[in-house]
Amino acid sequence: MIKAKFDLPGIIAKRNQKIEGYVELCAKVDGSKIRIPYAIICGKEAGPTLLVDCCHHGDEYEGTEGIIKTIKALSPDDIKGTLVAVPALNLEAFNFGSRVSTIDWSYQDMNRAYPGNPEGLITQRITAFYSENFVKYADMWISFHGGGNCLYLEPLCSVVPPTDKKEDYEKVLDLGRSFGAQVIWLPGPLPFTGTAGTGAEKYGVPLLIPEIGGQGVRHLHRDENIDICANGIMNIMKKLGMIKGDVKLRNDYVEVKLKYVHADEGGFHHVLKKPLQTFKKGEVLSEITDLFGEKVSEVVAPFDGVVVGYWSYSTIHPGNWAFLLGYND
Amino acid sequence: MFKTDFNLDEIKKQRGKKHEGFIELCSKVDGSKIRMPYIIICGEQDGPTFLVDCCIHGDEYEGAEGIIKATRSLSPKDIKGTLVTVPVVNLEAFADGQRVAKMDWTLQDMNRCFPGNPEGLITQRIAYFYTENFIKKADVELSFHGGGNFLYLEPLCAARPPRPELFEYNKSLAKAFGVQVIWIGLPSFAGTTLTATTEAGIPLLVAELGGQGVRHEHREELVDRCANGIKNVMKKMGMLDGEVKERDDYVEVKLKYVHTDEGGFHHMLKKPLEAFKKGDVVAEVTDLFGDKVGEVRAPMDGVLVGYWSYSTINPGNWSFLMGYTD
Repeated sequence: MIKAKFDLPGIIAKRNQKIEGYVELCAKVDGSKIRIPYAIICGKEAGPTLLVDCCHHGDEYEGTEGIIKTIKALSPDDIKGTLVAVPALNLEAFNFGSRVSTIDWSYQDMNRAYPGNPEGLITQRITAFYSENFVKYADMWISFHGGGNCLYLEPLCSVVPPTDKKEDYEKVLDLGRSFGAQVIWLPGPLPFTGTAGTGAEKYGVPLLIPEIGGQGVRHLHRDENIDICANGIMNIMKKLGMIKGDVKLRNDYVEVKLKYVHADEGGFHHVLKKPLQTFKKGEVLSEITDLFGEKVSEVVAPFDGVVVGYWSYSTIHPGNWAFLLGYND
Repeated sequence: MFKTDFNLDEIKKQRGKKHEGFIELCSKVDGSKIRMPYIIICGEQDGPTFLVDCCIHGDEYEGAEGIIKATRSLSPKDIKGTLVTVPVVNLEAFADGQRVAKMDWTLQDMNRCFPGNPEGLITQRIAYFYTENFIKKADVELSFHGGGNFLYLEPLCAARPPRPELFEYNKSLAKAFGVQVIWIGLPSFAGTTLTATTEAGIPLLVAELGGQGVRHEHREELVDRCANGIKNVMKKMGMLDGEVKERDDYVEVKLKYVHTDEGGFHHMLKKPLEAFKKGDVVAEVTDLFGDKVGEVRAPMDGVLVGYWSYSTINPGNWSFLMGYTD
């Protein structure tokens, strides 16, 4: 059990302040602490509490930098309500530059570890603590992800309604469109459980999961992707009435469910269909070649759809994600 | 000591033939083998032996793909002499997608291990085997590197002669390769491939192209530049027909690695090929709240050739690679 005390309702009750620091959760072997960094802006006027975080996966930095940029740009004078930001939740993985932390006895993907376990492995303890001390008090939650070291993802915003009610779905879809990305990831079946959606559902908090950036585009597009994240936070705050201004909706949304398609064989991964290109069932989306240039496999479209993301690393291991494909029922 | 009967001299005797396969070096714990892949094209006519390799660092793929592309487009009829290629030398690191292999008892950077040690750790053994069975049998070696997972590098080619009198010839081969930046001068650390090529007495070219930071948009283009670079050097060596067109914009520089004192988010203030003055701030490092915790300054006048393109940087790592002239 993490013994740390963090009183978010107490902080929210003190209006008109900007605070930042770390919550110290428990000791590590070297005597330093497992920590959660936070930056909180309590506006002069009361209003909704928006929780924004990034780096559940330690190598997805664009949202983190977008959060930092937003926090730097805002003061309590600008805000109605409270902006609660956790720029990097999985700080152990973040420190290491990898998707998951390497200190759990059995590796845990933090975005499969909700609602968490206060008596479990450290990553499960962090999600339990975070759910109880942050998510529980939020009216709205934005949790940033991205392509990380190995994936390219077309900027997208996933909408996760807190209940099955139609009005909850409509509300979160409206917020998702306001974020500003072209691709909207609609609720659909996922091949795994325990994502942030599980945590959001527990407390009835509407959740948006934007996916922005990745190492494959950082030389040319890092700043642009950080701006998409920062502007997205501002847009949601406008929509929630936390800051002044209107949100301009796009006229080119691509609203789809998504499916991960895996590679059967390992080797060099050559993508034939690029992001936002459409394809028909049975079309070859990518080829996998060996060290002598011979084709060892193909990844074939399982349905008609549109490419939303792909494995942008030069090589791919067997069984890993080759594509994230958009489709409509 | 590896017990293998691989013999490049015997393979070279079989003219007019293309050979490919894996050399099996020793057993791994799961019963599979530590291997080394090769693609060798013995031209119908005799001539020089040109050794081309990549992935001495396992995450630098552009040269490996360029080698595969070049060898697939060439047949023994096209070539005078022998093109010996090893698309991936450090196959364990390559399989893991990492710069270094994980299985040595103490981690070894293969490009700090030359000329190797036949009785040492596995990476040292591979370096030794490669030196004895490939490098010492070549007339020229081209070894590809790149930005890997973390660095952006302006495409460049280093000229590394085994002795000073071969410098001009070695540089003419580097210029033929086709990239703008020519790295003259020595590497900053011991045990690179240069140690082996110096022992062998052969000119070395080290080409650095690509990296994960540009692969979404530029992977194919960089693979082509690697493949064309191999052919350009072959033309210059008389192994292929055709003229090499020299550029008129070479940037000939020595290079220096500049390290960061602090860790955090790494923000570059200068762009590749941008010039700067001694004392200029080239990069800033900020913390999780956006506050500046470090600056990386230019230690001398120069030009930016490469930089740490990953969002975050650990303290002590390379912030940028700068070019300078004496």
